[in-house]
Amino acid sequence: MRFTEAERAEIGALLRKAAAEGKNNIHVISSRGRWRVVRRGARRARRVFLDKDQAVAYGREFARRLQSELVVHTRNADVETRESFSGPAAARGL
Amino acid sequence: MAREADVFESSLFINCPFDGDYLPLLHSLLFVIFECGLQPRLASDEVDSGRVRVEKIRDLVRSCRYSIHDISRMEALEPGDEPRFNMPFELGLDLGCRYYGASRLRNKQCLILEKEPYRYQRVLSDISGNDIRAHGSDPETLVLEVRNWLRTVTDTILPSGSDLWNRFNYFLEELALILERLRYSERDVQALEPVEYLGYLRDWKAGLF
Repeated sequence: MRFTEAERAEIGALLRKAAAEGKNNIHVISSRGRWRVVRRGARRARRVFLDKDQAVAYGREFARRLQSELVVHTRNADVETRESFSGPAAARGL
Repeated sequence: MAREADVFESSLFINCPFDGDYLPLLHSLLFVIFECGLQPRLASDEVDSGRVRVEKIRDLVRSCRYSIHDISRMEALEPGDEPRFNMPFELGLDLGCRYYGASRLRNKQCLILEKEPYRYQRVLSDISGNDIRAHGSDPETLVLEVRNWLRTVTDTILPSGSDLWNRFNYFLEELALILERLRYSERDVQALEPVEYLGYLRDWKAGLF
């Protein structure tokens, strides 16, 4: 598939917006049989868990404190779930 | 316009299945190749249905210095189906090109991927002396194996395996957002052709993310 210039510009704008919005996101990533909680762009994982549910619970708290988003991935790296803790309602803990 | 020799040096031919089950592995494979600075080339890149498939393969083999052959699906898709032999056939063409081709083709490098270690010895023992790595149908293992092989054969500094794996996760997150905003249904996303996926990857690599 070859994109037209207009499609390319539209995709570019969407990509830049997505990157800007996602740079503080907290990710739960599968790695060598464990689950790493990683802040986007950080060199090292914040915590590593054997259990995915524990990793998600920890990541949720972390994302809540940062008023960011939690992105949970599958073992294949696809996005499984996404939770947002940004915006006025999230800031008030609602 | 890029010189033919430069294109040859930076091109990597991928010989793998294209079925839905393999798609997560193919996506991770395309990603790691791109991130390591090479251009992945697939037989499905070419949409000219007037050309015989084996001719397309022959031209790809001849125009790529590097190649990755995944023979992990050298089996029937469903019980009772016939096994698939396209991958080992194309691997044979690539090895033949290296042995009998002109001088620059003798410097070609290839990686053979399998599902389990040593399974190939039972079904394709002629390649026992080659460098064969098992990925266990796990995209992360595939990323690490391909990254480590490229580090050796290209002799260039590459990002670490865990950095690449993290970035692949971030890329898929952003790609999912883009496709959602472009109103792709879940079915459209699942049916994303490698060539379209490559288009997004190229934009991402070009710094648009």
